[in-house]
Amino acid sequence: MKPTPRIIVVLTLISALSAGLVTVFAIYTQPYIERNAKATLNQAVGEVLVGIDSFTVVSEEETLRIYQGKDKAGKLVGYAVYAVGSGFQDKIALIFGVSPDFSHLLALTILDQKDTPGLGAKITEQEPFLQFWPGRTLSRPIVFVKPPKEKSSLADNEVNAISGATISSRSVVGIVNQAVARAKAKVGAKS
Amino acid sequence: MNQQTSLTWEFLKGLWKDNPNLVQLLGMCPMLAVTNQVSNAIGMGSAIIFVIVFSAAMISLIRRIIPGQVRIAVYIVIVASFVTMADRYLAAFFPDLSKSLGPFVPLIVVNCIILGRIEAFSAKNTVGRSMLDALGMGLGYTIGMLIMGTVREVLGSGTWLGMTVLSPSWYDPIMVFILPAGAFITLGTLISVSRLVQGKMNGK
Repeated sequence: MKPTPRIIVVLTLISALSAGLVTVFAIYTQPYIERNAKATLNQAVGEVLVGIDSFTVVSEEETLRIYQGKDKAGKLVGYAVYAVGSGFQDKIALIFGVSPDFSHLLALTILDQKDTPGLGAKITEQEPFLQFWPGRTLSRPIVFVKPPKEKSSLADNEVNAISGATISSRSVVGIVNQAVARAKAKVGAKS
Repeated sequence: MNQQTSLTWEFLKGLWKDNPNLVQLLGMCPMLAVTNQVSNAIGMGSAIIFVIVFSAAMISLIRRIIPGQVRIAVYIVIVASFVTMADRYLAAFFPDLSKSLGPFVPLIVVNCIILGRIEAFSAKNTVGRSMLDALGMGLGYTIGMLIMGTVREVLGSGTWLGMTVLSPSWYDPIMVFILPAGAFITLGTLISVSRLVQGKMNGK
């Protein structure tokens, strides 16, 4: 098969037309897509840093992003740390808030996960998992315990694992511990 | 031969007799992967209808100027353009849906039902007939996904389109239906039932 001029002309024309069409459409949708990404971020940071008025970016990398949240008076409320790590099936993306001195954790939210529905996916729920996180100390690494204990009898660095989903629970604990260490080093280096 | 088939039939054949996912068994990946919720099935189906109808129209329009040797390349470029537009549109206006469909929207490019209809039909027929054929196939595909999504969401989560239909007070969701294994079980059952009905209609 020899490439004839006709093939070249037709392919070029069709490709150019398609590219033009896609470009116009991409430019038209760009602002909406950016606005969605921003809204998602605002909501996530607002969930883990309660009472903030504005936040600024401290550092942004692929697997670790740090935001600094301030209240209306300009007082530092804490840092929101976004981290990604391996879960049971796919990556888990989460965000958590820490106090300004990195002494304790404020709140944790799971943003994205594909763990088993009904088991590992419970890491996104308050009652079996997330409710144990606020207030955990960060002076030592967080550890999970099983079988679950009464909330009041948990040590200050302990959280309950989800029954039947030890791997998912361990993944979240691992991602948080690692992100705390990295974020602490980053923030410490800047201030 | 094509001139003898009525326009209505060009449209209707995709709904039952040549149904893409129950008879032709084409485009099975999204059929299995994103039908754990009715909303995903509707979103995916709409994206497929958009892409297949516009690609069919465009390709049948230029079918006489496409050089035979590079026709597949031309089809892919055109299909990919429409898929990119659908993907961007969902990301811009339906961010949640776009997130839950994930990579399956860009993957429509290689969905065999689209290339299959283009190669088998749009490349040889007029614009009107191609669009009717594409619309029928797209709708047939969407209906198949909707049935599948309904079975899986109702049995697996006790909800339909997010609304509770089987109350959690007495119904314990059968988790397997929203997992991949449930997709295969549901698809197999659906195909058997549709063959059974077809057999009855043929008087066997």
